[in-house]
Amino acid sequence: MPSEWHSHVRPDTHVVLELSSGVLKIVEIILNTNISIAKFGTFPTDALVGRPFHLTYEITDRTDLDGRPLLRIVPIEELNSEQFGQEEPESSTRASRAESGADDGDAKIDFTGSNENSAMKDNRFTVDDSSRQTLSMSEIEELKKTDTGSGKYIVTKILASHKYLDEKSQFSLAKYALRKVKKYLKRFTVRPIDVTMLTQVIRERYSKKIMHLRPEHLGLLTSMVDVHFSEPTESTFDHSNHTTGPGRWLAVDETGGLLVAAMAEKMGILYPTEDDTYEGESDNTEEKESNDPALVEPCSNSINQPPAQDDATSMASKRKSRASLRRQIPAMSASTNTITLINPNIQSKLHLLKHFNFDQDDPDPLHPLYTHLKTLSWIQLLHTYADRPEATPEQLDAWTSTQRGSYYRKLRRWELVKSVVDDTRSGGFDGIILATPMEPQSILKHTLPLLRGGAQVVVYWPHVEPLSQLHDLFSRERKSAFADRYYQDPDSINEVDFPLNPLHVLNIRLQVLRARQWQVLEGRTHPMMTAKGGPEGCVFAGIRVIPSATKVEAKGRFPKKRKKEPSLEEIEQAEKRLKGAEISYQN
Amino acid sequence: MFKTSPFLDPGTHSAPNSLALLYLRRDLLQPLLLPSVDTSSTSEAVDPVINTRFGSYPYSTLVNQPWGTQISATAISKKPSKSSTANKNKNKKRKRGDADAPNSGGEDNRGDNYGDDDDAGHETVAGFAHLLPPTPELWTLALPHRTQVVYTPDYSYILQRLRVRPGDVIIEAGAGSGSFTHAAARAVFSGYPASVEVVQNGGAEDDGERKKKKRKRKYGRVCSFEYHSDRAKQLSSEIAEHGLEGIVTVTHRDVYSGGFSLEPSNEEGGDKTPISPNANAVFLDLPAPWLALKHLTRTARAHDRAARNPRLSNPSAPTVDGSITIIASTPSNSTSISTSSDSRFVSPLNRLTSTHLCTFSPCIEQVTATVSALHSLGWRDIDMVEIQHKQIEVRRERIGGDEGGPATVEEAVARLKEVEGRWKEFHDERVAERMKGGRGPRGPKGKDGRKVEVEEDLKDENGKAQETMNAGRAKVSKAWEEGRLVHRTEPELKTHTSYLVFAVLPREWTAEDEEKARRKWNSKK
Ligand SMILES: C[S@@+](CC[C@H](N)C(=O)[O-])C[C@H]1O[C@@H](n2cnc3c(N)ncnc32)[C@H](O)[C@@H]1O
Repeated sequence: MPSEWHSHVRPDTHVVLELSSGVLKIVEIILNTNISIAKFGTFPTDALVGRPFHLTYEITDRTDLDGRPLLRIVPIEELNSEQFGQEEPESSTRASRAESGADDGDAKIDFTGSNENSAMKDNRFTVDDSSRQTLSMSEIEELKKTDTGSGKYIVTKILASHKYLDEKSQFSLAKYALRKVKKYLKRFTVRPIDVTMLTQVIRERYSKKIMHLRPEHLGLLTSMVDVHFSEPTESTFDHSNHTTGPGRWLAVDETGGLLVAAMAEKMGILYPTEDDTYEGESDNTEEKESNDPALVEPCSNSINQPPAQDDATSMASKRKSRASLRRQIPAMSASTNTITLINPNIQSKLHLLKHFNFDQDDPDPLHPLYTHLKTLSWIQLLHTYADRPEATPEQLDAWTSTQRGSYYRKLRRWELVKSVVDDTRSGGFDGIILATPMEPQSILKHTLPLLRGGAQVVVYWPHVEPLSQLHDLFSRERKSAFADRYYQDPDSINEVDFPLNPLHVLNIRLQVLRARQWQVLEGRTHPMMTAKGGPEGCVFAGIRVIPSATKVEAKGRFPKKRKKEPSLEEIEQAEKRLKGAEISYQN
Repeated sequence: MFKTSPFLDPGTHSAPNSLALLYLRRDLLQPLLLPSVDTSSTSEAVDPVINTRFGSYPYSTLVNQPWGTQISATAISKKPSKSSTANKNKNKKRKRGDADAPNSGGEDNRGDNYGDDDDAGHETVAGFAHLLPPTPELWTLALPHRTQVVYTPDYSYILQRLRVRPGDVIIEAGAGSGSFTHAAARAVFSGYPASVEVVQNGGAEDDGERKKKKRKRKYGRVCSFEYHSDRAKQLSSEIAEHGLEGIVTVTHRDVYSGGFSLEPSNEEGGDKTPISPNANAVFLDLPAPWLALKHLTRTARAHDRAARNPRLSNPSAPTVDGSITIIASTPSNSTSISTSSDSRFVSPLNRLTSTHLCTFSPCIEQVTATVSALHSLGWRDIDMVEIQHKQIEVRRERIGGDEGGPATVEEAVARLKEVEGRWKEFHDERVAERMKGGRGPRGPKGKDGRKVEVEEDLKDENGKAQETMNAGRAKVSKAWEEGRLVHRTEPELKTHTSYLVFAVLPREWTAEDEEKARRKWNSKK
């Protein structure tokens, strides 16, 4: 189950290291290798494996036999008191228990200036120039070189060398210390990789690649499209015309797979199915070692072999077993809980899924996405797919085994495409979601008919304009004009005026949202002073409906009829208009 | 028979005994529990009618319809005015100033019920509605409001940040009107626990390899707590009606004193130890979340220590800054509320995973108290955000203004010329007449009189020109394309809902655990 995947660091997965500076870094966990962090140094990957997530490590000046630094787990109490100031922690005993034995014994840094009086100090005497720091840049550089450990020494030194430290008010001292901690302390926190985390990592530098999506967008998009886990139940088959499903969603994703990942996460098909450890409901029972996934034996490959060779052999055997499994398990074969991705290109670009162990070019057949993610191109959906590869029995007999092999491969490929295309064309999808720079209306023209009544239509765009244009295709005026024409003479409808049937989408909403970050330090709570700007991001959402086959009598009067009997306002306006004309004449 | 939830699998058609929503117009939805009446008979006796402001709908027209169908109201001889339940409900809601109710009477209340702009309250029978399957988003708009509720922009972010995924267990308190509950149920859903051996992996089920590895599945659950007895009861019955019983458990409890364990089933009578929900996510929408936090510890020791801290236990203790006191209301009939004794504390948290927590509070003082409590209880990554959300309206705006002004300088000039020309023409005419010595075309003599006349005349002329122009335009123009496409924020903005405080409590990791892990994983060389 998903929570296992996120409970502790496992070999052959990706994790995120959050450095004390706030920088996020994705690393792959491979046994018997090292992880290097610039300015921090190199440490063995194995020191993280099997440990739970959300622990913070500090690089110490103690080393192992290979000269690699040892890590110390920083107790939460220590982290919190640095951030929030001195408060008597409730559970201080945990702190000492959790230390991994490598305490470097430095004196604790006083982050709060908690000696009496300091709280009352104000800043009227502080000097506003950099001369207050008596250490020169080069001296600090020197210190950095000599301090091979956690960086605590530097921070203490810097604080001690601050001429007017005593004059700082408590808050500004805490701020100063915290800044130095962030800059010089060699600490990092291990985070599980998930859609929210991945979005944050990419946003730091490649926001454009993911169309400026933020976690709050992904939350809203996946909610609006109502994507969730689905499985067939008895009642599914009550409805005779329920051919497939439930739980089939359409998507167009040009964010490198982030959108697909966000959907898959909500559907329970993003993370690899666990094939080891954890036999069911152990959580509540007595602590048994074997039940604790963090403490299970490492996988079969021997750790005594030299790393390089070990890697090579295991990779090769993994490949082979994957290939043979793929022949047994048909790809894209699930009929429920699926994402059908329509590509503008021959191949979909889903490289971000590799962080969830799904490699598009060499998919693991046991990964849920292998069966639940279906892909096809626009040409396959809208036009014919290639002819079935044919071969007479005679030909087959005459062929060499390689020729036969290639024929069957082609045939399998063709059958796969046919099954996905037929499934998609059969329609009945529960929703569609778009994050693509393509014109949304052209996509909806071909996909609205594939949605069942009551399905969700959701479109994301970095900017409002394309979506306000889309909204305009469903305006009230267009709806009533369409209805007038349609029910009289359906042939009078043309695509220029009505690119989409305006009666097909109901309850349209355009929304923008932003998570505004706050600083919550005692006595210093306020919104963050700065945030990343750029495209705001906009979400269009509506519901696919089925208009009545005959014209429905709408209650009330149509605007046209109103002309006969102008309202008071209209009379007033007409009068004003005339006055205006007169005035301009007189001048 | 096993009942599925229309929220999780609505099927293709509306079904008897199941929830459907009647969409009347924007933000106005009527929840309907479709009865299992004999629909073959159309006699009114067995075919109850739902009356709305937008017509009357006999149930027989609503059952077994494809979802999304537009349904015409049926003309009913009865005066529909007397039992318009939808109407009553909504009016009540509106009066309470609920922000999501339709903006009454505003020009921006553009219904999807196109052509239907008459809001003057005439009782009519004609009209239509759309029949929709329920989703948490629509339910949030349609549900009977018993409390403030968490709306989509907030809950979607909360569930995203809490990393709530299928198979997870989330604790929720207080459940209130159940808005968050439904969204959470969708997020954790990983199958109905009662169902037996359903195919888990789509097409791959025939694979022999996999069968060997078949494991017991963990089902996602929502453990809801609510101390208001009527609200707890009503939510329980809604959960049952919505087919979510296997997924959501509603417990009637004061969580400040009673904590978050689940009631042991009373059937067997034997073991009365409270059951841990084994949660990995927690959402607190309570007036004083910090009073509930002491129950969200991992060990009995931590719990006892926290329970002795007056700030985390005493409802009337001042908050950290000492200046503001938030009194958490305690239920009057506390005797009827189950409390679990501290001596039998079971941690409600899954001990093998981290726990993600979110509290939802409108006031900054609540945030301060919560953050301080989280800090002292060893939570980390304490973070606060606020979701700023806007709905955007799209419309077309006439260039030159609503009042029919010219769109361009050229148009202005052309119009002026026209008016000027006519004035001149008229003036010349007058001069000519006067030269002839005759009277003016119409009207009385005299200076003043003439002026009035001219104006009248002009007005007339201008009006006529305008009319013909309008008529001409109406013939060729496309009303939906007129003007410039613009967007703007909705007229009523929700500028603040609540502050969202997030925190993480990692699993316990002792020096002993670390030593074990080190022996198992660190390469020995
Ligand atoms: C704002 S409402 C929650 C609304 C809910 N989140 C929703 O989306 O519909 C807060 C609820 O918490 C309940 N509550 C307050 N204090 C409580 C306590 N100590 N234990 C349990 N429930 C409590 C109230 O009765 C109220 O129904």
